[in-house]
Amino acid sequence: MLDAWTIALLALAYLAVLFAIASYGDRRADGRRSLIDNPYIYTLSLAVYCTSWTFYGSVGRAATSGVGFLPIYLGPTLTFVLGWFVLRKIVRISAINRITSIADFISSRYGKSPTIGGLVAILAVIGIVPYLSLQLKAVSTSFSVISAYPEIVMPHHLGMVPVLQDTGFYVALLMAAFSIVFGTRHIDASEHHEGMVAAIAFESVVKLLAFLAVGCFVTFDLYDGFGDLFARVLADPELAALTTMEAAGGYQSWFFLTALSMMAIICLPRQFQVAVVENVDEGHIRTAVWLFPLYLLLINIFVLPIAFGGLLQFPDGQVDADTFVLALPMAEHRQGLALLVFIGGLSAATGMVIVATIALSTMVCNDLVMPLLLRVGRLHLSERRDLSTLLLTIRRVTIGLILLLGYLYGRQIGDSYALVSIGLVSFAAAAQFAPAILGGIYWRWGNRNGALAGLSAGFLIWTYCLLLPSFAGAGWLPIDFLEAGPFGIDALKPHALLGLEGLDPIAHALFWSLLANAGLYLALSHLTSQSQIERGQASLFVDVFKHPDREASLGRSQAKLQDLRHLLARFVGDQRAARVFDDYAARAGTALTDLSLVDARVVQFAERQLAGAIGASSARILVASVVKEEQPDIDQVMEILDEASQIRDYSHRLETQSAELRRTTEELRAANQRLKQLDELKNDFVATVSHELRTPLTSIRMFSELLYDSPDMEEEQRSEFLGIIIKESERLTRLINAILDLAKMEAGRFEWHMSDSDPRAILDEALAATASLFHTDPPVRLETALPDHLPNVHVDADRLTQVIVNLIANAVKFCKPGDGQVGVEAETGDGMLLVTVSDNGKGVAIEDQDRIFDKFQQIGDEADGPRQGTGLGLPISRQIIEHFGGRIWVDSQLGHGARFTFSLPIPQDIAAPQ
Amino acid sequence: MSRRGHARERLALLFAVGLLAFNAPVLRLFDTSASIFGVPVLFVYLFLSWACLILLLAISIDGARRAGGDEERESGEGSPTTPGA
Repeated sequence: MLDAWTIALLALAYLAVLFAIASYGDRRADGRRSLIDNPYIYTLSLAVYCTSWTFYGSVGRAATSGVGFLPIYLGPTLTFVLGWFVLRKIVRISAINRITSIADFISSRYGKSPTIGGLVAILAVIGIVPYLSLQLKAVSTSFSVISAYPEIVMPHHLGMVPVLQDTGFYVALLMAAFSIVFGTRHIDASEHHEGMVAAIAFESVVKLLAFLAVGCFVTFDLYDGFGDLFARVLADPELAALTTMEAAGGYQSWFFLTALSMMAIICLPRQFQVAVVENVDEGHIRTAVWLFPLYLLLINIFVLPIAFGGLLQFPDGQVDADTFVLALPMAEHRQGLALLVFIGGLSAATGMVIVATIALSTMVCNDLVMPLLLRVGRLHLSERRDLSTLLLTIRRVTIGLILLLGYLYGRQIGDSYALVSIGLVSFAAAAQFAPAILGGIYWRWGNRNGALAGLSAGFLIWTYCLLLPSFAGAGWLPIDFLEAGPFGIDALKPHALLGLEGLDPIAHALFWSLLANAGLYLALSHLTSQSQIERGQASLFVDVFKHPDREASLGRSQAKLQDLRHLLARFVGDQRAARVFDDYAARAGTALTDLSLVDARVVQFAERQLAGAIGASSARILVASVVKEEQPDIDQVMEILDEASQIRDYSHRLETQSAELRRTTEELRAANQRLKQLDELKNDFVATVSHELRTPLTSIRMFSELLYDSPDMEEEQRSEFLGIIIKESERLTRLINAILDLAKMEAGRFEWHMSDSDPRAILDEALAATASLFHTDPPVRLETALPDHLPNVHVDADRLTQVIVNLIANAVKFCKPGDGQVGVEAETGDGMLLVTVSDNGKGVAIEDQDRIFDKFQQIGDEADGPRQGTGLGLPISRQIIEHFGGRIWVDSQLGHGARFTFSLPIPQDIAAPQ
Repeated sequence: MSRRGHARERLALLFAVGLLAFNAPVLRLFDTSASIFGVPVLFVYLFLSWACLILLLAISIDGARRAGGDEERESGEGSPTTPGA
């Protein structure tokens, strides 16, 4: 007979050893000689995965379903095959962002959203409570069983015992006290619990050794090795049935359990705590990826032998299979072994409870309570001096409450389920974090809305399909709820939602919850957009290996170092805060003084340090309260706008330039065209001049030769020929003079004799000079309309006479044959003198009206008779008039004669007296 | 030779092999009433293949360690890591 007090004292002694190890670990950590900076300690701390569930429950499960317990360990093995990539990425992200819990991780990924952090914290607590109750149940049961040593008595229904006589209650109290002492001794900016990790590693060794010891005892002491034991099993048809997959629940169930545990090994809050938050060197993962599965293999080798040994030893079913591990040595009166088993089971349970409550209390405090308190302005929390006491109090109270919940759940519900069934409910809850975590580290576009909706939907379905039925099983809800669905609606049966039958409840719930969870996560992430901070965080998470040193550069906040240091000191104490900044300054190689303004990098550094103590979302709120209120987003936006407008300016300038270029090109092309025309004109001119000169020259030569060859020519004919020669010579002279004049005028080398002249006198002179032209047969009529007095103009009188004579001569030349009429008019107006010479000839076509002022452009064709004149009269006239500052033009219509008009400016001092 | 620089692929392959080995239909092959030295074939298969997977995993990860930083840079997976002390 073992005295209950003896056992209790033994248990307390064991816990004292644990505490000593933890203290030693913490002291080593403070001395910076870390005890846990070691891949084997890291691996052993991961083995906190193996709880009472493994220690007692696996055997219980194996006793009813053969290998059905194995997927829970094969899944983590498969996950760890990829651990070097997946786990290392999560660890790297968490180290850079100083993640303190799984809630912190998810909230940080989705824009440091306090809503998500709080939601995950609540869900984690609800989800893990059944798991905690499992540990409490296992410890109190094992305590009851071993207390009866050497009798094997199954504990009575827990609910029947009043609370104060319930071992489970005291176990819960003890565990709470232990966890509080362990996990909440001080607040550390790094949030490492090195002592705790060391103790957990020690516990992992104890539980493995205890289990191996009892396994060896059953296999090699009770029986003659594996072959002997299993031969007896196979000999019994009832037991032999347990060696098949059918007993394990079939392949479908097997697959779902594997998948479930694959997710759980990452997503369970306590696994996240030891694997990620407590990791001090990601190189440790390299060893852990194979060593941890090896640990799982070792602790499972003897599960089947113990289960079958128990079934063979206690065939009547009086002994609960969950207690076989303890009952077998007891039945053989191995007191020492039984005590070792009890201590091993205690190890498994305390390890889980400590880590889980610390993980949960951290996230409840950092991601649920603190953000809420910080937002309640009345508390003036952000101004309080020392908050580390408050943080510790929140965490301690949380641990107490969580264990109380676990105890109550176990007292009411736990008894109606086996250990493993209770644990699987928690696994399914933890698996709900998988889409948000895995999506968060591999899919850049996963956003807050998607995560929020996915998590909520997944948990609602989990609650409906697994949690509520466990209440129904315990009698809190009518059993009809399970069997007929709420209100008798078949499609809503929690174990056969929408009529999906044929899956066990865990697989069924897992399928629906993850479908909704992942589906909503993906859909909403696609349909809604990310905020700026979400984008920054997403990139920080997804690309953690691409930019190992990248800072999340959001805004350009500035703060006084003093403020930041005081803020940090309020949570971690003055000394630690000072040390943190000193270290930073040393590393960055800069001196930081209290009053200096520090840039965004230091602000971010401080925020991360603070996040290590109170979580990302709280840290963000607090740091924002001391950071100078610049509007970083606006700044950035302005900068971007600035850049955009610069670019627009530039492109505008480019456009202008290219327009200018186009215009210049156009002008050049026009100039080129003009040059070509001029060139052609010059060629024409040379050709025309040659032609015009040749005609009189030819006739002069021809008549001269005639005279020369015919000395006996009659006098009359001779004088006629000589007359022609003289006329042609004169014409030639005129032509040459005209060409010379024109060339001189065009070259600007013509000698002008400018003077104020009376235009009336000039007109009279011109009319007199041309009077002979009108005496033709029949005569050409001349009509003049000349005022008696005209204002003087500033001209070269001879040249102006030349112009008028030329115009009159042309008019006579082109007037209507037989009934010729020429008009000469003069008038003043608008400060101009206008002189018009008109005829009644056939006129000038509109298209020719400009051309006739060009050189040698006589209109009409050869058929109209031989050309008369030089073809230079009008061009010369234009040169002259334009030199006087006037203009010359023609108004004409074909068949209605032509009116040649020129204008001359009247000088102001002359016009005024008029 | 071929082991260097392919740790990533080998681990992915190992994962696929593990998934296959621990699920139907491969598992169905060993779900018989036969036994080896008195131990049911299913048990022997599950534990032996599990042990093999762990062994291969240890070898692969060790290969990754010896391939060292090169392999990691190739795969774009960041800075060299400290090997476990």
